[in-house]
Amino acid sequence: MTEPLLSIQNLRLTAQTDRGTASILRGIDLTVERGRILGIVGESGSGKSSLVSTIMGLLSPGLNAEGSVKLDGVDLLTLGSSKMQALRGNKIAMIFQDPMTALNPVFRVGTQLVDVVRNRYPGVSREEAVKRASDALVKVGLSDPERRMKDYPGQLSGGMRQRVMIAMALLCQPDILIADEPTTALDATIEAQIIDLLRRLRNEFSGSIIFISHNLGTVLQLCDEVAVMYGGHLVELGAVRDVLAQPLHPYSRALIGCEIDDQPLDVPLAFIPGKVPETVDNPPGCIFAPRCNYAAEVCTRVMPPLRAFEGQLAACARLEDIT
Amino acid sequence: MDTNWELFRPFGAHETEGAGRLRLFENFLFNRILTAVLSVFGAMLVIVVLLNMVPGDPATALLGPMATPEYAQRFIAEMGLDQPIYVRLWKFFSQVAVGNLGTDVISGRSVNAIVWNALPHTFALALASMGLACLIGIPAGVYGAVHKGSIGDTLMAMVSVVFVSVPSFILGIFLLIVFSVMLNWLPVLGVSDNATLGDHLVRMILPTVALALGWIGLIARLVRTSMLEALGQNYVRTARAYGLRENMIHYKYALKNAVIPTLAIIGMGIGRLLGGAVLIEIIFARQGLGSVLYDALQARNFSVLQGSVFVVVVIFVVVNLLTELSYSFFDPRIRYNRR
Repeated sequence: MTEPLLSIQNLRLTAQTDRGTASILRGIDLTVERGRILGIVGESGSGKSSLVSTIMGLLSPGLNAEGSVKLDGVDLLTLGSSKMQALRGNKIAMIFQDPMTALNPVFRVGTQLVDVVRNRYPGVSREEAVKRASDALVKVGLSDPERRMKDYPGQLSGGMRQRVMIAMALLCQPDILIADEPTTALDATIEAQIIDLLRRLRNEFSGSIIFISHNLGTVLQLCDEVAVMYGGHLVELGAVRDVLAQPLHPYSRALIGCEIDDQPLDVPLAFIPGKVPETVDNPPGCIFAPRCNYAAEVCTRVMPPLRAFEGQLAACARLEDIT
Repeated sequence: MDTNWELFRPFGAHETEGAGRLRLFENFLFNRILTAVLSVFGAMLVIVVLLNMVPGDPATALLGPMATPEYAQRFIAEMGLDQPIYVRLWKFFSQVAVGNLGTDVISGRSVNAIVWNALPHTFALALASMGLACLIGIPAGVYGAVHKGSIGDTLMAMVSVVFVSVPSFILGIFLLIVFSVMLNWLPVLGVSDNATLGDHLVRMILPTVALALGWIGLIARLVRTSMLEALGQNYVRTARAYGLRENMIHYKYALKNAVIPTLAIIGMGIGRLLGGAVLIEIIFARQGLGSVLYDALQARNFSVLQGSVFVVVVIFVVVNLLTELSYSFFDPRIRYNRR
């Protein structure tokens, strides 16, 4: 049990483009322990979704992953597509960002859930699969599961559809559940309900969860650890309370500074000047240096690796100087 | 061809809309049937006017140049051709209203009987052709989309274009020459003189293939396009994320979405083929609606022509109506109402 459930080492993701080689992930090292919830935050384009697509083995053709992604000691990057397919919906499952389009509009909710159950547990009878599916719907807080099973996704609200997606994930009882911004497309009130649901299900669910979010508040409510990504790098990693209370990396600080929830109304909104680095550029120094308030000469030479500092990990050369 | 989606929309929450939905459906059906009746009426008007302008009058065509003017005059009066168009239309429709398509003045047979004898040939050929076209075209389209850019896909694209662009009667003659004349594998005549089912089927092979090839190409191209779109949708990614088998994803989850835009073309194809594949029926000497139309036109036999064109138009309109209704079978979004 000493070995972590998921262990990612030096993961690089590249694609050949007309403008040269694009680096989407630039060497990620990350582990997820059993039963833990890891949050991943970062701007759009920081590589969060690419990271989880790589773990799921659902990369678009043309993308090239190097390094290793070990689940229970098995390197997923070297698995063939049929073995990977057998793993999906079994050991790993995923909840997507947009519940409006993630379910098939022309099949009943029940059909889609039952197919997933029968794929996961091939010996299960149709009746048993239907029963499990409707139980799962109750578990995620949908009343009248018989009717919901007969409904088409278009007849459900966004929140209900996301509950159906969560039910689908629960039915698989995966070791790792990936939730890719599951609340971004929902109203704020519904978002709170879904987060609350995930928190309650946490106790019942024995696996680990990777939770991707823009919203640091939801990460704080739900996660044990948080990883901050920027430009295809992991720039900070630590216990969620520590990182949010005392962010080390200048990017984490800036990101937390941009949260608008409890800022006074008369202050202009904070933002990080500059833009996310181009994937085709390969600057020699720190990836965040061009936008960093603390950048010094040392930052332009080499990308600093993640290093331990005050119980957290951060990839910054000037941690001692700036804290 | 355009479904009136708006008709299905403006009703509220779906638990209380049972009665409302039924009323909407009745509205829809009433509208459609009204449109259908008007289409039939309009088509008949055009046909009768056009027939009136066809050069060569039936008397000369049938009786020959040696007929006495009096005799020709009497003949024309018997066919009702001396009367103005609106009177002829009125007569025709009042007959049709009681289920009578008229009488063939030349042979004395009822047009009902002539059409009735021809219909089985036409239905068998049309349904077999379209069935074959779907059976091959749909999987071919799925294959092309799934293996986009492969040699098989490229090859199929080329073959499809050939199938679509070569007229079916050329294909028919070509098949006839190769398989019946040169190889002597299949009979030349497309219809059996003895009535065994096996012989009927064997003789249907060539005309069916000749008609189907073009539709195979068209359906394959259309399914490929809509399938490519479906495969890029999020629900396909979801199905993959839950480890469903690719075959199930392709043929169940993606195809049902991809088939919807193809329905219109399949429906139109059935309608057209039922309207008589005139040239193919002539090449293979099948006594279907197409042959009846052709013979009647050759003979300027207006009574038969009117009656059979009417049947063709009605079939086409009915098939189109059924096509529209079939949308709601494949696409539940038409059945229930979204906000």
